[in-house]
Amino acid sequence: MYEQFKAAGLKTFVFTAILALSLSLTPMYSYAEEQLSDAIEYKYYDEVTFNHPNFSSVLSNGNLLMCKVGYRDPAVVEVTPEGQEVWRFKGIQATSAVRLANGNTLITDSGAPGKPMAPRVIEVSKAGAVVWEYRLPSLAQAPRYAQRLANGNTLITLPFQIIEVSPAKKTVWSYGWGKPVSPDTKGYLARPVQATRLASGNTVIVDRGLVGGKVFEITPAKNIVWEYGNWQYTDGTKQVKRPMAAVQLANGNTVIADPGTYNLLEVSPAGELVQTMSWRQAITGKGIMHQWHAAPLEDGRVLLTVSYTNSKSRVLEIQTIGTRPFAKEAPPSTAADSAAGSVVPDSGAVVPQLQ
Amino acid sequence: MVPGTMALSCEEVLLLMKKSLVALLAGGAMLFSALSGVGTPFVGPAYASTASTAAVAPTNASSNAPSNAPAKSQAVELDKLKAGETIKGNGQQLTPGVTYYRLTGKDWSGLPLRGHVVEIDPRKAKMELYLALGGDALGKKETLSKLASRHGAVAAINGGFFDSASGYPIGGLVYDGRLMAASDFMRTSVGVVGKTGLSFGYFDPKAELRFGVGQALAVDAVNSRNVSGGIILFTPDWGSNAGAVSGATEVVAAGDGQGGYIVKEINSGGSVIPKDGFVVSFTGEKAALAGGITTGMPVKLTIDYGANWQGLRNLITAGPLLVEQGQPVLQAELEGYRGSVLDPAPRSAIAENSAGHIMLVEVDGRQANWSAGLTLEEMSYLLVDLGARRASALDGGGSSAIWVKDKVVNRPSDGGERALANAILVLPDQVPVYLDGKRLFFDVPPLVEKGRTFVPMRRIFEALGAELKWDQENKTVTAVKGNKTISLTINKREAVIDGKVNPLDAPARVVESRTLVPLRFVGEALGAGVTWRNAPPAVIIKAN
Repeated sequence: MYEQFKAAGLKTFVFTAILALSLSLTPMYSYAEEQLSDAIEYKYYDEVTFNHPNFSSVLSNGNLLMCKVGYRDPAVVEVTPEGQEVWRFKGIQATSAVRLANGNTLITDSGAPGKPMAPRVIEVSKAGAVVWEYRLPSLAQAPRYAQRLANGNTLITLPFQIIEVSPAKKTVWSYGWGKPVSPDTKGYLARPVQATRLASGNTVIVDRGLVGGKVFEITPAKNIVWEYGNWQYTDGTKQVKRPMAAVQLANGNTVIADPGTYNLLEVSPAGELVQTMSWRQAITGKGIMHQWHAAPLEDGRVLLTVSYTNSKSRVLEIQTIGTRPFAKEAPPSTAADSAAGSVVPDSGAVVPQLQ
Repeated sequence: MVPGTMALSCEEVLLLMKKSLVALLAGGAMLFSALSGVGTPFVGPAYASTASTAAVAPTNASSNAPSNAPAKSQAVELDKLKAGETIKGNGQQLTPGVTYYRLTGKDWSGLPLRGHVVEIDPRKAKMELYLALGGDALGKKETLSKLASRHGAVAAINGGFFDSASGYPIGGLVYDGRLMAASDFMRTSVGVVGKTGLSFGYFDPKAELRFGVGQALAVDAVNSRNVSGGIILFTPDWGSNAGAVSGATEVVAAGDGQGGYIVKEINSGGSVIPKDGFVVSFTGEKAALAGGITTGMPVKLTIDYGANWQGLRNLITAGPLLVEQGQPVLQAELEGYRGSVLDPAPRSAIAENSAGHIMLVEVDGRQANWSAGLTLEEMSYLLVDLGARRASALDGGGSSAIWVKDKVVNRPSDGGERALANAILVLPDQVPVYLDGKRLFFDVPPLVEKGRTFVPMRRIFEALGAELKWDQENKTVTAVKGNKTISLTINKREAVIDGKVNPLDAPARVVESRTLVPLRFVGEALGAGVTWRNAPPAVIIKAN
């Protein structure tokens, strides 16, 4: 009997030993890890080290439109998801490029490094011809972003000013002083990177600042509708560190991309923080040296333009981790719904069941 | 400092990010503190109005020579400063029209900032801005103090970018009007036009070659291997042999004796560069362009600096551009800067203010208790504060060094001076002396009196290949070259050549404790031809 027991014990011991050994040798299954690897979709991988993309956007055809800058072969390029280049406008250091409805590309050419190049906003045809050009008088006014408006005018983001110019190149509206002024001056801008005109006629300005940024919406009369941030970054409370882009949602909230904190910030029309959605975890340990640009995509994703410590570059699509679902549209509000406290699902968002 | 990236581990990257955050907060808060509560435009930091910032001291007493250790008064000033303030110290006149002052500041977290400025008024100062090459050749390096002292510079600052391994410059290099290197064009270059004219911008010289009756071929780079697939021109300044590029066809062109060139041979792999010619390397996809070239063909080379660089004497490539029309320009990223160069660091810059004064500006960094350093954006704003209308960064980091009168006055972050490829000098205006086509510099400028030029004895004898002996007791210098011996005694109106006494109407003399000898006499006695050129004035020596 003792012999049988001893045999069974030995088997159990051996079985347990083998189990323990195999468990210690195999990597532990981690849900978090699996989540992270799905969180990054690599859109574009660039082996070149003498230039890098500093601005990217995803086109409706699924291609990527990028500005590549550096001391060799700078250009605006369009590449397929497979990385094949299908369009190139070369020889300029561009700070932004957007594809227009007419198929042309609106590019802000910084004019760097200097004469005989000049800073300008150009509309370039598919064939590479410059069909419209707005020149700036000096590198101190190198344009950073341009938006073609429904009225045919162009809204241009300059270092210390936002201007709206007509096709005939007349300035019809402006905000800011055009030069550095004291921060408590009305119209102060530290380092604006994107001004966007909304359908309402208001303008949203993303100012990445020098040590902290500010994102705000103004009326045509230049009154502030809402603001987020104070051009400083001390404790992060209602502050943005280095906002690069902002998108206003149909529900009136604005999503700000702040690579300074690795966050998308969803802000209400009253300028209150609705939620923070982070991509920090997704890129930690990935060897990223610079986040040149970040732009909010749908569903809480962010388009991140980066360079690695090995000098190579990528454009990544990352799923951020937030605290609430990313509601694209405002829920239709009815008294019954408010009373019930339930969230009316929109067309595609994941809806948690409220207890 | 080589721009671009450094290989860093993720931990180092995060540490750098943290450091950058601190310094950026510090620097930015410094700017904000300077701005807060001020309703005037953002020009000028809050200069403390104490006696120490009174007008420029008119004397140039050597007892005011700057020292590295902070004076007691400066330490007290630092304590008085609010976070984010910068003050200018006493101005010291180094020579009429050239003023030196120190910058002292404090950032938000209490870390100090220390810098130096040399300001030159070209209308008052009899000066010229010049370039000094390490070892007087491409690929050689020398510290700022060595370069400045052997050129007799009143002030000097480190120059352009260079490859720290090879010593070759990155980008363009023009020395004494001669194109010595050209590549990496989309960077900011700093050029000197005439004696003190500063030019900033994009330097893309058009060098064209024509072989026989063939079409004009554009040269892609000069004396650089930093090209992928193109036509590279290697001149004698590169070295003895052309830089070998695998698969390239090399066309060797020598002088034809009539001011033109002729194809001497066609090779591959590092041909010898003729002293009176050059080598053209057809590389990559342009290798085929060498197809129709045969030996004996005449070769035409034309170089055009472009409309923006007419009258160019000296040029280096650095950058980024920091100030334009009195406003900060933030284009570091566009000029290709990445990695640690974007972190707070020591910085050097050259600027011009609205009065037309030139400023050499240096700010120390990477020394937490001495000076935290600046980002390039902060440097732009600091230069605007100093009144700059236009400015460009020079090489920075461990290369940042500034020489004032007789020593380097800043604290280089490497712990000691870095050997540089080149430096920008402020030289006393002087009659240029050329030896076999190359400018010859002395540690004190030549003295021209009654039509006679006197130069420091040691340098001229050494340049002419003579060995020198100095007899202190008899105040006599003896120079020996081959079988020729010349002896000169201070103030004696006769010289001894190979034992024979010769009358001398321009005796050797001592000026400010320097022994100067008559240049023409010495040159001719040692077998060189010495002529005076009138327009522009220069002394031309032909020894070989």
